[in-house]
Amino acid sequence: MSAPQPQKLMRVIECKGCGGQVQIRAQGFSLSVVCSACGSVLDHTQEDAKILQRAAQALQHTRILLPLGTRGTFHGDKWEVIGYIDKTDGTRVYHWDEYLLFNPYKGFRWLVQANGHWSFVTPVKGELPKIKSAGVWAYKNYYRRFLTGEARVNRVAGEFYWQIEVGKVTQVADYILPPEMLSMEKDDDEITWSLGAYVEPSEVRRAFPQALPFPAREGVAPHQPYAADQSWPKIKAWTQIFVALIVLMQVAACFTSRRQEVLSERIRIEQGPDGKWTPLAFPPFEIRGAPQVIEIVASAPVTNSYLGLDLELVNEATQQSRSFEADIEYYWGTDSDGAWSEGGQTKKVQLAEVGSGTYRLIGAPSTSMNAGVKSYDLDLRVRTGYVPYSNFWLSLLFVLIVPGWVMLRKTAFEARRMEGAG
Amino acid sequence: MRKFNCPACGAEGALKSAASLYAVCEYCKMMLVQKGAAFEQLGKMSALLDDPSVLQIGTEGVFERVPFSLIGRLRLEWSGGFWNEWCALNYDGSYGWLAEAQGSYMFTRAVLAEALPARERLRPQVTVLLKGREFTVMDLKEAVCAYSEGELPFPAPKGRKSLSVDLHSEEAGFATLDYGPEGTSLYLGKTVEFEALKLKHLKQYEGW
Repeated sequence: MSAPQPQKLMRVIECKGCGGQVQIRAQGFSLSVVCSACGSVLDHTQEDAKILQRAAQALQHTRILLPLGTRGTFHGDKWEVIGYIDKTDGTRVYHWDEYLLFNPYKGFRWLVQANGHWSFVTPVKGELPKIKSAGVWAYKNYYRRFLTGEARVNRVAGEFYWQIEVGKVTQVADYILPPEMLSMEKDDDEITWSLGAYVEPSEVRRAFPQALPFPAREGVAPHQPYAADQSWPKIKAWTQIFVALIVLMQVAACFTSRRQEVLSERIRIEQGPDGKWTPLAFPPFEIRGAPQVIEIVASAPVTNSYLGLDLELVNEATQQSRSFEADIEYYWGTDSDGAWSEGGQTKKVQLAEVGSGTYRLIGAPSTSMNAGVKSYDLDLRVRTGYVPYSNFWLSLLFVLIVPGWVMLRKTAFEARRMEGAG
Repeated sequence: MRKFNCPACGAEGALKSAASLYAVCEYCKMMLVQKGAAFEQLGKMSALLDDPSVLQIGTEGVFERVPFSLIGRLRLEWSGGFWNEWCALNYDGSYGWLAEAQGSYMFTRAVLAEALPARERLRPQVTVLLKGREFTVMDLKEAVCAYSEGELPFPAPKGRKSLSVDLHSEEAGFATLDYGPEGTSLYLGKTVEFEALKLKHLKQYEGW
């Protein structure tokens, strides 16, 4: 077969409205073209380019960010800007730009600019999304309804693959699954769907360096992804790793620590007639191993009373001592709200960094709020190998700061997104 | 390959598929339909201006791992536009159809089926069972053949009228029911991405 001549896509026709020259960039593909001089819409598929809409609009002050005829490479394919639509919503207050992109092999795409946010839009072919009460099902995903309303073709330039009509109003609905947005457009004759992907303005700028300066982004676009969404899987993974590590370390500490009772004594303490209590003295006990947390448990059958215990842990070798309190208090009763109680008959105290050696506990009961009781049976136990939980909770809290912060910020971002919903 | 001489201009032509019954002479554009051993003339096909198709006779591609090459086509026009049905000769000698509509591609094969749905039943959104699979009607188009070229398994002269019904099913399933002058035909296949067809020998465009 002989290689045929390349087909011409460019052509110049004469405008039947004003006699000016009209440039065609996708001859054979496009079905209507707009005269840049007088704004008439022409059907150039006919031999004599009949007028569809005469001088339908004033184009002088239209700011076309991506000039017609410019080419750019987007997602690996080359596209030429051949059409521009300035659309407004039903109130005609809110404007957005739609740029029609053309490639003879790939067909048509759109770049849509609204409030400085950009979308790359592909017409939906094949099976159509299924509309549910609050969204649509498509591509095995659920897109939630964001907005329903009207769209009006306000001004147009360039050419289109259908017969464009200035002033035409269609019903539109947007469904979101950031960074994607499914859009439905409906008129009397048909329903069309398109799938938009949020793109960074810098990406559009890289693809079309000849473009005019872009407006700054305002607010949050309906399908704008939250910037930290990309790092969220990483944050989540690291958080899980750290939490697992902390839990593991705690569990390991519980398993390896040898809980041992090194002292268990019951003594009777009495208050003398001078009001002084018998001093406390317990037999010495051994603590072995690396410096550790020990737990001292004191119990006395106090009831609606208070027993103050001032204790000292004395190292027999060095005579160094550490003072601490182990006050036992227990109150209960009934009032208008019913039964209540406060405190308990047992008090636990932890002492950190206790090295190995022989120790002795000494001290004295200081005060009792119940003058009527003159004696108690005091139980005292000392346990080694106590695994503290305070560091465990603190480190957990610390690890959760970053994901917690990100989630708070995301909630605020989602609230800003929904400001535009309707 | 069956060689023949155009009864109108005498130029030598060749049919690549054994199933072809119709051809357009490459030189004089005479529409020819096979009647026994001879060809009957149906008049001349006028040239097609501004054909936006990226495909052409001789374009090669692959569908579901079977290589094919395009040997003929119909351009069908309806009230809302046009589309092309390209006849593809598969490597195994069978033929299929590559439909091309505004950047969408559907590859189908003719399927013998009994009890096809009556055309009166078909409306958009109606679901029908075709070969045990559920399909939803997308659109119905009263189509007229505006142009044909190459070779085809049925006569497709200019002006041939048919009702073309497109249907979709899950996982890119696609079907066409064609209610034509020769009867009703069912074509079953899939919508395919342009890239997946791995097309070679595409038409060239100036500047692209």
